[in-house]
Amino acid sequence: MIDPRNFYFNSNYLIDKVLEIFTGSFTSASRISPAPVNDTKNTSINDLLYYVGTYTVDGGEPQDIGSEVLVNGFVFQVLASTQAGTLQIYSNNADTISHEVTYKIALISKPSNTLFTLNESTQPINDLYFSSSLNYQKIALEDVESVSVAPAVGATPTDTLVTIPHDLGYIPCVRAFVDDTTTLTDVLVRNGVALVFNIDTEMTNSVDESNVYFRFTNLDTNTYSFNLNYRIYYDAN
Amino acid sequence: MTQIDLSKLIFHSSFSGFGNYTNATISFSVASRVVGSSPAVLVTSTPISNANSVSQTEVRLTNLDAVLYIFKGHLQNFYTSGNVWTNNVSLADYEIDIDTSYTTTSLVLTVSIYKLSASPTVSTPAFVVDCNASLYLAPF
Repeated sequence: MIDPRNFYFNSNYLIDKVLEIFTGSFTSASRISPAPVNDTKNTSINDLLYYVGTYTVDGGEPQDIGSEVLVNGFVFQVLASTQAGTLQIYSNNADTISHEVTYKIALISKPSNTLFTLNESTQPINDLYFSSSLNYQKIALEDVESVSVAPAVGATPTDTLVTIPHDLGYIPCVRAFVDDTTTLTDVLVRNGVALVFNIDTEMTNSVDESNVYFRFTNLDTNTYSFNLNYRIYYDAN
Repeated sequence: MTQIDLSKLIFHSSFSGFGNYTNATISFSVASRVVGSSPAVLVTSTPISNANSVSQTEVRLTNLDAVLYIFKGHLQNFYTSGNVWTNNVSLADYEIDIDTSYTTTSLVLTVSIYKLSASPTVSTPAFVVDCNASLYLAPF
């Protein structure tokens, strides 16, 4: 019996495959709603992709893509989404002035991705892609589920709770994205789902030793259907 | 140029994963307080040592509710005057937000409490923030 928490890497256990990394910068204009697309990058695979990244505002400390920070007392947020062949970066800038943003985003393959053309001539060869001295996040469970979110009843929001059993016996790390087959974005960040459905949706997601719970709270009077993509990881140690 | 079928491989040395994976936990207390028109901003977390670059954060507001919330960067919860969680902001009396932020060597949690009630003040209970963080190195 092998416990995946006891080794750094084992080829029997899936890890994330980081396909491409993008860096960039842009000026985020003041108070544009909804969040505008500030930058677009062409990706090397014509499919939706998962992503993880960080950003800085005016050269400050890095934040996770999707995090909200206070800048001059106003909320600032950078979001992302993927479409087939492209990565989009958005910003919510509630300040009265514009701000400079830099970002780094790693694109990760999702289960439906198939053919990827690796261009050895452009791959950076001075980076170490894999090192057995590093402990890698190992995927315990992943899937894509169809979800239909019921509409609000008048002014009363409606919750749709999706329960994903994992039975790991401990609290795992989770990544999750929604897509409508055209655009994919992060579930675990505030305003993330609104990028896809352009609705005011609040969500509070949670986890325990047996299950992950995704709560979709619909404040809108429309029914929404989408794919919920999730990955649940073995603990580190 | 090499064409790779991503669906056929567990691992390929051309693709990085998220290394330096580790877990950390931290708990800190937030005292009972009376919140008026100005938000109470409580920066009570001691830094979680994080030489890695990205994270996933889960928190439980022990003594307030029993759920361990997963979030990225910003958690926003609403409660009635009976300290019951609600998804309906129009019924809420107060709001608790938790934000994460990085320095180059640490991860810090900030708790903010906002009064939503029409009353001039609202009383919020003492609670403990129990945080479970998964930390890993981004390949950039």
